[in-house]
Amino acid sequence: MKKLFTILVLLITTIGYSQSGNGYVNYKAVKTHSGTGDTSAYGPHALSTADFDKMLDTSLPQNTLIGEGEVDADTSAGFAGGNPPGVSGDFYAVEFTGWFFAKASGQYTFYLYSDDSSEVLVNGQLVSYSYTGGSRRVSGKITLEANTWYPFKMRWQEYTGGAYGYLQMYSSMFNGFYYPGHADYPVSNLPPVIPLVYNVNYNINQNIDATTFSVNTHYKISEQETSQNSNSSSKSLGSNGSVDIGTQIDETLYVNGTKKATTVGGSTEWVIIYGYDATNQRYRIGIDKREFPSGFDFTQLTELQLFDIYDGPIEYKSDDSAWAEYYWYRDTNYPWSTSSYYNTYMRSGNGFMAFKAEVSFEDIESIREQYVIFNSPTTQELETLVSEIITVSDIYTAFQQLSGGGLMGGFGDEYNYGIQYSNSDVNRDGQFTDDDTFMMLDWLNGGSLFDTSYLAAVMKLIKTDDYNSISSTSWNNHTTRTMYPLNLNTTDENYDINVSVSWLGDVNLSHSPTPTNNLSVTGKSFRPTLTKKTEGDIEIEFNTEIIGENLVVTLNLNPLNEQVVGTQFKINYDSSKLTYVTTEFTNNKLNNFHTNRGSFISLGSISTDGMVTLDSTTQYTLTFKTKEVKSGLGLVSIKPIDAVNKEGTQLKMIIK
Amino acid sequence: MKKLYYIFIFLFLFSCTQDEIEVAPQPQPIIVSSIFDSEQTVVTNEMLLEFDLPQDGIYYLIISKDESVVSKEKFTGILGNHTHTIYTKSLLDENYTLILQNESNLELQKTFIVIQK
Repeated sequence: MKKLFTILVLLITTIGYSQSGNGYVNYKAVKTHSGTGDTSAYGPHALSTADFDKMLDTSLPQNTLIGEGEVDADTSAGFAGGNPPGVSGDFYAVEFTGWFFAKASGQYTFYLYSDDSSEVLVNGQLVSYSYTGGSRRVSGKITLEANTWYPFKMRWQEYTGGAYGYLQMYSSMFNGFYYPGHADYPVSNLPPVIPLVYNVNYNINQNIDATTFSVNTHYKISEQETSQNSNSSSKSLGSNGSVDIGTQIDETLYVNGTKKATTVGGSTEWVIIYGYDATNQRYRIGIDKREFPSGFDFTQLTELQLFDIYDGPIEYKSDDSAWAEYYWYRDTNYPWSTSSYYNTYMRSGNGFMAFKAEVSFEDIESIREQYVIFNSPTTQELETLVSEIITVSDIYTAFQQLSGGGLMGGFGDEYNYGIQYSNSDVNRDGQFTDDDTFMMLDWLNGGSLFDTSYLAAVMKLIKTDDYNSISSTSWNNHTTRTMYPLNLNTTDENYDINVSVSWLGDVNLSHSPTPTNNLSVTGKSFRPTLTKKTEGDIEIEFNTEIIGENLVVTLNLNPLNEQVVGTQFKINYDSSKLTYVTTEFTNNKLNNFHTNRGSFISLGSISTDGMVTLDSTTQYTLTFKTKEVKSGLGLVSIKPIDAVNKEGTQLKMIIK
Repeated sequence: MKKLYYIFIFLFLFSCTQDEIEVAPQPQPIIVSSIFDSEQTVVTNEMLLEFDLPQDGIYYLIISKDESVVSKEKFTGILGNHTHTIYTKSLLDENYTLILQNESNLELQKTFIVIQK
C-alpha cells in the first residue's frame, strides 16, 4: 500500500512537471490597489509599462501575490480570457511570460481585447497596448525572423467592472486568428536552448582534399597534455575546409584554481590602494594578510571586486609578512569621491586610500581551455600527403633563394611571401640556412633528418589575418602544430574563426593558401610570380615489362623545349607481389634519388644549382622482383609529382 | 544431482565427436570474356581479362586517365584468344580507360573499367 502511494505521488509529480514547456506560459497574479481601490501608489488603470511594473511589484505594500505558476496558453486561463487560477473580483493584475517561436519570417499582428488596461511586449519591444479603463480592442505589428524564439510578456489589469484579457495572433503566412500556443504560434515557458555554433574555417589549398581531414576538441590538462572532451566525436571537414565543432565543446564551468576577492563595508582598514602610477598606468593594491584563509596561495588571487569601485582582474605583485600586493591596471586615476562608500568606508591618507572592507574569497569558475585538434591520418596517408607537398621544385626554389646569386648562381629573390621563409626553416631553429636545404635534400634521398612521420611535425595552423601579414623579417614564430586554441567565453554562443593551413617544407606554397599580401607590402623587392603552366611541358614515356623473374619499369624523359633541372615521380606498387630492388639512372651528373616508402617509390633528379639539365637521354629504370605473377598490368602505377625548369617554374608532365 | 546427470549425458554425447575441419575453398579467378566488347566493366584484383589478338607480336595494355598513362605493360602475344591478369592494388578506386595497342602504338581496342579493390 505504501509502495502504491509512493508510485502515485511520483506519477502525479511527473505529470505535474511534464506540463512545463511547449504550449505553456508562466503567470503571476497580484492583488492591486490594496484590494480596495487605493490609488496612492498608481492610478486606477495602467497608463504605461511603468504603471504595470508598479502594479506587479510585490514589494509595494499595496500589492499582494495571489497566484503564480504556469497555464496552458491556449485556454481561458491563458490567452483566451486571461483568468489564471487565483484571480477573482476586482483590483488585480496578471502577467503572462514565456517565449514565442516564429515559424516563418515576416510580420506578426498581436491583438489585445481587454477590460481594463493591457499590453504585450515581444523581445522587449512594446507591440500593442490599451491603456484605458473599460473594454477596448487594439492591435500592433512586429517583424520577426524565422526559426527564432522571442521572449514575450502579456499583462492586463482589472480595476472594477468587466474583467478579461485576451491575446490573439495573426500572420499572413498562416490562416486564421489564433491564441498563442496554437500550432502556428508556438509558445513555451522554458527558455530556449540555443546550441553553440563554433565554425572553424580552415583555409586549405585546393590541391589538398579537405574532406580527408577530421577534428576533435580537447581540453588542456597541462602545458604538455590535453585530453579529448567526453562529448567530442570526430567531425570531418567540409570540402571548403569548414567545420562546426559546437557539439564537441564542453561548456561546463569548472573551478580553475584561481580566486576572486569580494568586499563589503566593515570596520577595519584591511585594504589599501597606493597612489596612481601614471608611468605604468596602474594602482598597487595591498590586502592585509590576516584577511586571507590559512594556507592561501596569494598568486592565485586574480580578480577583485572592491565596493562599487572596481570588479575585474588584478595581477599578483608580491607579498611580505604583512601584505599581499596586486596591480590593478587602469588608464587614468580613479575619482574616489564618486563612490557611494567614500564617506563611510574610505579614508584618504598620505599617498594612499584606505578601505574599511571585509574581504572574502571565492573560487573562480570558467570554461576549460580547449583546442580543436586534427586527427592523425594513417602513416601511409601522411607519407603520401607529404611526398606530394614537399617536392623538387620546393627544394630547388629553396636552394635558389639561399644561394642568392652568389658563387652558385641563383636568384635570391625567389620568395614572394613571408610564410615561405617559415616553411623553409625545416629544422625549426628560427633561421633559414644551408642546414635546412641539406635536410630537404636528405629527405628527398630517403633520409630521416627531416622528420615527417607525424602530422604535427609538418602542419602549420596560423590565424588567417596573421598568415596574410607575415613579413620577410617576422616569420619565425609560426611553428608546426595540429591544435588551435578556441578562446571560449561564457557569453558568446556563435563563433567564427579563420585558420590558414600551411606545411613545413612547402616552400613554393603549392599546397598552402596564397597570402593576400606579398613581400612588396613589407618593402622587399621580389621576382615576379612564376605561374605553373597548364599544358604539357614535358613528356615521360612510361613502360613496364616482365623479364624473367623481374618486373622492369622504365621512364624516359622528353624535355621538349624545357631546361629541366628537377623531376619527381611516385611509383605505386603492389607490395604483396613485388619486392623493390633498385633504380638505375642514366644521368649521374646531378642528384638522383629513389626512396622506398613501403607502398610506393619516390624517385627523380634535382640539380640544386641549376647547372645540369635533364635531357632526352634521361632514363630511370626500376627493378622489382616478382612473386607468383602472371602478368604485369596494374602491378605498378605512376603518378607524376613535380618537375621544375631552370627558372624555377613548375612544369606540367604528360605520361605517355 | 539432476544437474550432474545432465552434464554426464552432455559429455557422453559430445566428448568423442570427431572435429570437423573446414577447408576454405580456394577463390576461383573471375574471367571477363571479350573485355573490349563491353562498354564498361567493374574490375577487381587478379581478374582475368580475355580478348582477341589479331596476330603474333608485341602489344601494350594501357590503363589511362585523362589521357595520361597510369599503368602500362608490354607483352608478347600470339594470334587468337589471349588471357591477361590485371592487378589493382597500386591503383585508386576510380574510372579508367583500358587500351590495347600494337607495337607501333596504334590503338586497337578500348573500353572503360572501374577499379574496385
